Amino acid sequence: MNVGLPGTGLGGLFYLSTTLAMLFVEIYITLRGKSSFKRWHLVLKQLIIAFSIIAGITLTAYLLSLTILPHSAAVSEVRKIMHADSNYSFLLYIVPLPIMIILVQILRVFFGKREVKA
Amino acid sequence: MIKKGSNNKAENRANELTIIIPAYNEEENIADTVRSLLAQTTPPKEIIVVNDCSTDDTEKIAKSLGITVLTPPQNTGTKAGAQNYALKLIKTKYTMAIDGDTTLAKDAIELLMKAFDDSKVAAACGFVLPRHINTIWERGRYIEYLLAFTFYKPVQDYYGKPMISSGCFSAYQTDLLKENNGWSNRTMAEDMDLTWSFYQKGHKVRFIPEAVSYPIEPNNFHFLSKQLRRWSHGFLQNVRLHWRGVLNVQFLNTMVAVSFWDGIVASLIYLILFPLLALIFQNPIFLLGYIIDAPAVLLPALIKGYERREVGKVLLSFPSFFILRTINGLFLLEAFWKEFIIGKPLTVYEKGH
Repeated sequence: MNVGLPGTGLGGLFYLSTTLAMLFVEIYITLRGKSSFKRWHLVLKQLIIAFSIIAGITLTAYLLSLTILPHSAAVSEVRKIMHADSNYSFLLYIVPLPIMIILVQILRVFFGKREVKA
Repeated sequence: MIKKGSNNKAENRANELTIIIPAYNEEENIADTVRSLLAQTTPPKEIIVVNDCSTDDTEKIAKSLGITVLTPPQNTGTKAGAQNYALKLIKTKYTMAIDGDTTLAKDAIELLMKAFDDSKVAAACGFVLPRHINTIWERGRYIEYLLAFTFYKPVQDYYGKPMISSGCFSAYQTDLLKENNGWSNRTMAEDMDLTWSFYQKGHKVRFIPEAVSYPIEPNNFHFLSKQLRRWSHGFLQNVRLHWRGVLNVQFLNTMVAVSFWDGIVASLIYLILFPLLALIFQNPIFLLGYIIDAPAVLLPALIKGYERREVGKVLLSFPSFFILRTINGLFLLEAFWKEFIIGKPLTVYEKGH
């Protein structure tokens, strides 16, 4: 089963980020002498998927910015309302994930409970 | 990556394996399921079909295949109930649960059982793909599974936390399963409940992508709606039940939080914000939001499709994914409203075909 709406959104960003992090985790594990060819095969395969997604989304955004979006007054108006015209507007997309991670850790400290009895 | 090949360990492990197949009115499918198990490279020691008081010929067909068939004195009401009915009789070291409409690739058991090379693994699950890919719903589900099992689940497994050990095809260490009192009826997603319970007890769960299963997915909206209702309510019931315990399970805690956020907020954006913007501004351009993340879905699906020589099938099925995703959002919001706002939880288990 799948939960939520797969694709981009916070879930998509979560999996892209954790996939990119796999590279650094695996380098660390390799330096500790605990990696293997199988593990690197998996990491590289997932990285190929992640980079192809990033490339695909970047290309889609670029093509839209050249074709449909510049001619849409409605989209321009929404972008102004959301302050999405600045060079830092991409942060609006990236920032929610670290906020979510921090929030989860705060909740863990205050509400986390050990084993739930079956 | 798990390699195939003759393996005495795998055979020995299969000799310590009992498979439970809960079945209610599965006369059309049970024979295929059992035959796919008997044809495995490493067949199990025993196969038990729990005929949950079917009103068709499920019992007769299952018995004709020469396997153990149990019939409870009355319908257990749920898949968990049917599986637990057999569990108390199991003496083998490993137990596998397979749905009555699910077939396996020939080497699925051999490959899946290798997960238990690590004695700390309590459960292992495999790759899932729809058996039939014809209708719009089956095609949407096909893309959804390709995305999830090609991209998401390997990442979950890398960090040691597959989110769910899928109920249609999973294997367990019997003693750890019994320690948990088997599968619980307290939610509509007993597989998710069991997986998250295992994590909270400190056990491991693995995902083995090379072990492939083929369940029958809903082929019409009527059955799809029953399945999505059950899954949506099941997820939210598990969040409500386990949230405090899951908070202490790193990676799973963030994964569940993100899924919960996406399930509710993304659904609201999909179903309300996009159409609202299009109406307010009298401009359909906002409806692009429904498909703007197409590369994020298509590329993992195509990569796996290429591996399976199913590129054409992936491309043909791709548009159906967006319809299924929107329907998914509707059911999640309905489930959220009923489970969290008006306090009307779903308690009746209905099959998806």
